[in-house]
Amino acid sequence: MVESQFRFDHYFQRVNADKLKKMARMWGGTGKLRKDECIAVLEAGLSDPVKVRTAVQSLDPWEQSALAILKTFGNEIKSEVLHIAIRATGTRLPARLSRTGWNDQGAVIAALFSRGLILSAGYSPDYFPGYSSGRVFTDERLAAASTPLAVQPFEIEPMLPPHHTVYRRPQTVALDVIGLLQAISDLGGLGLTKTGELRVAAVNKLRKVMKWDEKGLEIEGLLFPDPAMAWIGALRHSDLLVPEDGFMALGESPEHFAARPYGAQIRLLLDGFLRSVDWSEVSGSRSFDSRKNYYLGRQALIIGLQGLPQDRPEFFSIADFERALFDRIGEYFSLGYLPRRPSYFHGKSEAQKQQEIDAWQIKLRENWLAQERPWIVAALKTWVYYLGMVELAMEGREIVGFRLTRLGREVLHPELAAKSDDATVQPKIEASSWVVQPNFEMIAYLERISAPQLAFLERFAERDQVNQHTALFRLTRNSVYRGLESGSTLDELLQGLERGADAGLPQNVVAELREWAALRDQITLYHRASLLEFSDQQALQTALQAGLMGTVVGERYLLLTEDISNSEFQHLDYALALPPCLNISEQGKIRIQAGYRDLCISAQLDQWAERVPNGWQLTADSVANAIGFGKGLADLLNLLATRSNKAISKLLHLALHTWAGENLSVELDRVLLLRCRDDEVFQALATSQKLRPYLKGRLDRNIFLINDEDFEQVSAILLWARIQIADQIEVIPI
Amino acid sequence: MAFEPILHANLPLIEVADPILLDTLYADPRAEMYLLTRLSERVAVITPGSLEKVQNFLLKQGHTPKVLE
Repeated sequence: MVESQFRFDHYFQRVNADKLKKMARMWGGTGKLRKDECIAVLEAGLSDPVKVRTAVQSLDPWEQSALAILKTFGNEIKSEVLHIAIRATGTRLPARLSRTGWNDQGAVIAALFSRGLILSAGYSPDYFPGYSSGRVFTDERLAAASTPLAVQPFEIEPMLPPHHTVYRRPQTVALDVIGLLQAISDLGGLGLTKTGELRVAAVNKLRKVMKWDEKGLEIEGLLFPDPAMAWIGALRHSDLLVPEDGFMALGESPEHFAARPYGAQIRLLLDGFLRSVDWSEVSGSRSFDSRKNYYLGRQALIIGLQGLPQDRPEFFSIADFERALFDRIGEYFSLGYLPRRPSYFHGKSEAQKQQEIDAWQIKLRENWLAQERPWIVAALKTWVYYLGMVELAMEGREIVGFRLTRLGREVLHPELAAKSDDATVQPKIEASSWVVQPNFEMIAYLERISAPQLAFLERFAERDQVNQHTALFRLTRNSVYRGLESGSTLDELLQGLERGADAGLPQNVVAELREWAALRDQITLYHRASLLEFSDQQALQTALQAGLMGTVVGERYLLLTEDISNSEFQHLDYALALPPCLNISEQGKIRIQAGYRDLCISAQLDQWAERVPNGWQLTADSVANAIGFGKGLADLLNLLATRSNKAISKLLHLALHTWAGENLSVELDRVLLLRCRDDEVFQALATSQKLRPYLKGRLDRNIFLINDEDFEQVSAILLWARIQIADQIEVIPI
Repeated sequence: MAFEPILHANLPLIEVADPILLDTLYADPRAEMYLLTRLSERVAVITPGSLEKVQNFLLKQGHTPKVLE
C-alpha cells in the first residue's frame, strides 16, 4: 500500500453504513445519520488538524498506544502484532477486551475499528477476519497527531550488583557492521537465484570472508547462531541490502552508513532485526509459523525493554523481567502452541470454573518457562547484545541479569536521551584516532575514533583484531588496491591517514603507499572500451584532424574518450552476441565470409586451427595443441556453433571430440557375406561339418561371415550341392 | 583494402605501461588463452566475458590492475 493511500477518505464508500455510524461518533456524528452524511462528518473531521488533535487527545490511553504503534510501523501493521504490542505496553484495556476466551485479538481490533482508528488493508476495508492474521492501517493524519508510545514501567526491583558484566561499545558495533557492509561491497553483492533466493555459494562466501563458523559466532563466550542469515535478514529488512540485477547489493555505501550517529545506525539495524523472519535465535523448528512467532516475540521484547524502569541504572534479573513480561502478554502470545483460556463453564460450579482457570494458568506458565524464557535469554545475548543495547550480568556462562546501555536507552527512549551523551555521539575531532607504525600496522583507539573513520579504515586496511579499547589494522598492498579500486584516490588515502594519525605517518609507509598506487597504473583493464578502427593510418589522422577525440592505439585504432554510439559509424557491440560469419566445410576448412570484420574471430581461430591460404584448417594436431594449453573443447564447439553460418557436419563434430582426446571406435574388416533367405538352406549350411571351418561367424539371423580367402572353398561346396549363388547381396541403399 | 571506420563498442581491453608485460602474458598459456588481437605493443583485446578471469590471474601473479568501465 503506497503512503499516499493512508487516507480513510478513499475507502469510506466501501464501508458498511452501520459501521460508519460508529466511526463517526468520534467526530460528533449520531446513529441517525445516513451513509453519505456519516462520510461527510468523517471527512470533515479528518481534514481539520485541530479536530484531529482534539479527537486523538480524547482517546483512551490504550487507543493512543495503538495509534503510536501504528505510526512506528509506517501506519500499517499486522493485526496480531498490533494486539501483542498494545498488551506489551502494559496499558490497561477495557475489561470487555480481555479474557473473552477465544478471540481477544479480534475484540481489540474490532474495538479500534468501531472507534474509527483503523481500517482493514484486506479485500474489504471493514472486514476483519477475527483472530487470524490480517493487516490493518490507520489514517496518516491520526498517526501524525498521536503521542509518543507510553510503555508502563515494570514494577520490578533491581538485582544485587553483579560481579561480572559484558557489553559492547558503540564503536565496536559500528566497526563490525561497517566491516560487514564493506565485505559485501567487496564481494560485489550476494548472488540471487532466478526465483530470488540467496545463492548458497554467496552466503558461504560471506561466511568465509567474515570468518564466521557455520555453527555460530562466539563473542565473550556468547554464541550468536548462524550470523550470516541473521545479518542478511536484518540488512534486507532495513533496506541496507536491496535486490539489484540478480544480486542483493548495498542500498547505501559503508561510508554513508557510518556518517549516521550511532543511535541512528542501531535504530536502523534494530528495525531490520525486528522485521526479519529469516532467522531465529534458537535452533529448532524453522516452519513458517514458528518464524512468524519469533517476529512477534521480538516486537514484544523490545516494548518490554522499554518498560524497564528508566530512573534505575541498576541491573534487573532475567527472572523478574521475563515474569513481568509474561504477566502482560503470557495469555496472548506463544512461540508455539498457546492454550486458550477456558470459556465454556455451562453446568459447572464456581469452584470447578476456578479450578479449570488455575490449571490453564499453570500450563501457560510452564510452557512459557520451557519456551519463551529461553528464547528471551537467547535474544538478549544475540542481536540485542550485539547491537550494544544491553549490558549483561554473567554468572559463569549464564546470563542472570541485564540493563540497558546508554546506547540502548537512546535507541529505545529517544525522547529521554541526553543530547551530549558521550557514549553515542561521534567524536567531532578526528585527530589522534590511530597510530600508523613503520611496519604498516595501525592501532585505532576506539574511544576517539568516529564511525566514518572506521569506514575509511575498513576500506583501505585489513582488520586483524578488536580489543576492548583498540582495534588493530594492517595496510597491505591488497587492501590499498581494494580501496583505490573502490573509487578513492591516493591523495584521499594519504590525507585521511594523516588527518587521523596521532603523530604523522612514517616516511617509509608513505613511500610504499605511493609505490603501491603507482603499480596500479602498470596495467589497465577496460570492461567496455569504445574503439574506432580505421582502414589505415591516413584515415585515422584525417579523423583526428576533423576533431575526433581519443588515444591513438597502434597505427589505425582510436580509443575513444566520449560516447559516440549514436554516430553513423558501422557498429559492433561486443556485449551482445557477435553475428555468424564463418563458413566451415566437413573437412574442417574455415573461411570468414567476405566483408566481415571483428577484433576477435581471427585470433580465436588462431588458437584452434592452422592458418592456410584463404582461411584456417582444423586438424587433429591443432585441436590437441589447444587442449594441451588448457583450453576446453566446449569453448571451440560454442565458438563454431555461434559464429558459423550453419551447423557443422556431424562427422566434423565427431572428429573434434576424438581430436580432443575422446575414444570413439567402429569395427572395419574385409569379410564375405553369405545370406540364406531360406531357413532350411540356412540350417543345412549352419550344421555342415564340411562348411564349419570356413564360417567365421554369424552377423544376423540368416547371414554368415566368411573370410575373404575362403571364397573358392565355400563356392565349391555350394556348387557341389547345386545351390545357386547370386552375384550380389541385396542391400538397402543410403 | 580500404573500409569505412568501424566502432567496436563494449570491447574488453588490456593496456600495459611496459610492452614486455604484454609479451609475458602472451607467453603464458594461462593468460594467453584469454588474449586475442594485439592492437599495438601495449594494447590487446580480451575475449569477451573473460575480463574477470584475466583480472584474477593478474592478481594471483601479484599485479594490481586498474579496472575501468
